[in-house]
Amino acid sequence: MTVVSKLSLYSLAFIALFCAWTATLPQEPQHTKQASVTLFAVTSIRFYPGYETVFFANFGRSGTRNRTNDTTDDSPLPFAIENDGVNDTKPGQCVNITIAASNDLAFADDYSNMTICVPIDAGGTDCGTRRAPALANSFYNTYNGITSWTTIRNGRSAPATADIYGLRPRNSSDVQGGTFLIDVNTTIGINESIGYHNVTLTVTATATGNWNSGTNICKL
Amino acid sequence: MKTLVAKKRLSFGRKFPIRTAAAIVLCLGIIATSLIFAYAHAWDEEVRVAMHLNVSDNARTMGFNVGTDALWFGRVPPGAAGSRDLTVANHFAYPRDVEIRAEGNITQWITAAPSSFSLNPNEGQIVDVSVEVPRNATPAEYDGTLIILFRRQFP
Repeated sequence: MTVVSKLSLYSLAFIALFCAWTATLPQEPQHTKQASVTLFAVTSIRFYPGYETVFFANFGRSGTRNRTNDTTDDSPLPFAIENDGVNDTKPGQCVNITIAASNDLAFADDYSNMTICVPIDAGGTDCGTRRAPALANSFYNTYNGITSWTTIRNGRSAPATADIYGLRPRNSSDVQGGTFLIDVNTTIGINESIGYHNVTLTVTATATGNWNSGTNICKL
Repeated sequence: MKTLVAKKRLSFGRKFPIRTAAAIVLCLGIIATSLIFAYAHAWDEEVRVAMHLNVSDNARTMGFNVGTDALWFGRVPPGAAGSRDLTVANHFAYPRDVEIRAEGNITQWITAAPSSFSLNPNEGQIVDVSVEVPRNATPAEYDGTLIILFRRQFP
């Protein structure tokens, strides 16, 4: 009798524990999908001021004319942009490039500005005749980006952005394709304030489609 | 005689005195509490995303890779920064906490914003993942892993 009672008690305790355990089990998700992580086909590179990226030297204020300097003589050097990402197993993607200047470049003179230009042989750009330009086939369509000096910061106005369209990917057998230079020019007005004037440049690449090297077409 | 009766009433038998029973119950309670606490605070799911960075040997040359099979930061010169965005979504029917960590040889250069947040059911959050390349970084290929941890949010 005693043994039966103990067994009954243990059984009851086991059932109670089992019920308690099952009651506290987490509910199954209503969706079969779990968490998802999705990557955007957009990437940016920022160049901060104070670094040796593009230093336009010191401009004297004693003159009576605006002072200008640019990168077309490779002093200082221009930026070079490449569309990487091609490997043996997957095709690369074509990208649009957007260049933006940050708000921290606060000129005090309305005549001060910063402009950029893409030298390209078939584009007839203002900056394209002074040294080796980018190949036209760096772009999968007729080049329709920046064709002359384009302002990204002008006097005290808000900064603008500049777009360069349809850069095709560069691959290992293709040394010059999918790459181009960005020349930068800065003009300082005669009434510009004394001191350092810096800017953070942000270059953003956005995918526009997969590159087909056989047909030279970029498809979404 | 009275003492013996009282002891008999307060025990389940000679082999199961009341103190032993109380100790077992206490231990079970502690174990159960620990298990519940651990369960409530344990990350129950993780997503790992590979990260790749090529530190350029030229201060003005940048290379883009917009591939979405990993966090490709491309060719970034020393002193500059690269960034990629991703969306973290919760498809469960209950809120979840999310925490983002990094591992690998670029961990110290990686910043995720936000790095810790909560998601309601069917809600998503855009996360900006940046890599700040130090000016004295050695030009080379760097790799790492972004780890996105999830756990059920308990009230």
